[in-house]
Amino acid sequence: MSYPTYPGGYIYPNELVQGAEYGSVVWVPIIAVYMTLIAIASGSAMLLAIRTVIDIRVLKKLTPLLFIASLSASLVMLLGPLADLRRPDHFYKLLATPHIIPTAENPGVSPIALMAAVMWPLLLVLIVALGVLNNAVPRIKIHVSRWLAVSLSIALLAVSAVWATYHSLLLYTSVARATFYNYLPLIPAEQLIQALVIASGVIAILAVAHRVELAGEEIRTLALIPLAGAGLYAFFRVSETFRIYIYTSGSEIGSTLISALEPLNTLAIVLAIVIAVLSYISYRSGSIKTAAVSGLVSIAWVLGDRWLLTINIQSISRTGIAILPQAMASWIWVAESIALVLFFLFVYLLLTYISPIPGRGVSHE
Amino acid sequence: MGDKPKVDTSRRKLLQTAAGALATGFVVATALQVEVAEAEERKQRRRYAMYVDVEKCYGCMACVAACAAENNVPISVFRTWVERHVLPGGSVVFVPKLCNHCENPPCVKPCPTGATFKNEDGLVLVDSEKCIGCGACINACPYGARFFNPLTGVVDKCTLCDHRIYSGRVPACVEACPTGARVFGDLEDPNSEIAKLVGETPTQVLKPETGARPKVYYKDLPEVASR
Repeated sequence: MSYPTYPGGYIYPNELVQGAEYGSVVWVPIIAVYMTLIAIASGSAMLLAIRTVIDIRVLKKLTPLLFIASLSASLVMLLGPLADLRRPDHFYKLLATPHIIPTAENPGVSPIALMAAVMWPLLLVLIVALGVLNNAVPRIKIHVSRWLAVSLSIALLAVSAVWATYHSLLLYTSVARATFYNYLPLIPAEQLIQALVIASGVIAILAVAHRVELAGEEIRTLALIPLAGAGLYAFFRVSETFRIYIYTSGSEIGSTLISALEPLNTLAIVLAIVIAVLSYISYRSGSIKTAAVSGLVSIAWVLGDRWLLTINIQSISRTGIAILPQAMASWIWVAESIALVLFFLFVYLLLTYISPIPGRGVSHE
Repeated sequence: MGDKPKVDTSRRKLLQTAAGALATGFVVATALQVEVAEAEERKQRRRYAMYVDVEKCYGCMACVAACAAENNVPISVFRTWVERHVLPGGSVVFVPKLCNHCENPPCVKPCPTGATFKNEDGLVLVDSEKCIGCGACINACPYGARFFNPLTGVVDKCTLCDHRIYSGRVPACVEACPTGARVFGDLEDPNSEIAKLVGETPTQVLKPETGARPKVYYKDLPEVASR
């Protein structure tokens, strides 16, 4: 009997065969798209919550957009993992018997179960509540005390912040990939920033699409979010990259990490700088179209970073010293991802039909 | 007058016998109760584990074949496997690996439905009816011991042949090993071979830095195989 030899280095045999269509990838590419959708949902929800507490004029004007964008993204986002499951017919068990209470047989709490069974319904309820409170839903006007409005906003801010950092929470439970995460301790902060940046970008795109009239001062305020966020992200990620080079330079683990990380990590840093530059131009010129272009770049930026943290990290063997072969020849994931995005757009259009966005010729007043 | 009252000796004897019988019964019952309780305690305190003597393994793969046949493991995935490592001096060692049935299993916590669980004897098992195939446990296992079973679509792994051990047999890999490199048993039983081997021999575990506290103990494990 002959023994297998692995040209890429030392790996475990079960690592080679996790998904027939995707080579050694356990979490398939649609998860990267799902995580991007989460960033849009949580970022918009955070801006909606902030707008309720602080009176920011541009956010006030864009409240219906924030409400519908966050609601439609939240409604469809769980379809992402559904496409990833190997037994989607068992999906209901995630909601029916979630592992959220530790027992002797099942110690710990599963982040997946917690988010799907508790945080997802909570997010939806809070978004709807804040939408109604902010008059984002036509014909429904409810007045509550300031104290209750602030409490609900803080709750939505907390829930959506947890959603924004959910990907990193998932990564930290993956003990097998621990060597990788040890070098990127700022992932949660980066993902929180990314959610706010992508949400402001998406809102700028939607404002252009709906022809929402914004004053130059309002656009400047909106442009400040990606300007500050992308700049901060670039600083964090560059620091982490230096950390990897300094700590692992010359080691086997270091060369594996760098070869798995380098291309997309560099791209993420470059795109963050591009977003910051575009946002600065938008800030200086008061141009919403430049803010929308910055929004398009921010979608590519978050998607690329999520791909890096979902797919590329899985190409690192548990041993930390080998790169696993990937088989991305199957284009099922492309069709699945497009379907997910199209479904998000369909729900968005449906909601804007039910609750029209105040733009040129449309008013809630 | 003067006649002594007649003592009913048969009644006294009867009472004495009854009291004696009661006392004996009580003692026997208590003893039985203690024995049952001890047996129950022993049952509850089972801690199944495996001991692998790396020096005894010569890479025949009988364990891999026996496991696949016993558990219907499809080709290309492994509940147990044998790694071949070349040491710096050029000598070759074979290291059998399997699920470590950790005391603090990293794979159990992220399971969203509780399909992966730790039973009362410390075995880490998968309830295939509950498994949704999310792969969280596969990404959490530092040992590469879990995989998607292409036949069932759910996660699969070594069960230490629970269907065999609960009927008094040893796991298939242990039975098939021609050199006795694998020893299976209950660590809580001080008379078991494994308890003596683990207690008396210097042993190593894989990736102790993860805090998983594996229950597969190796003798003479080369450092290169512990990655």
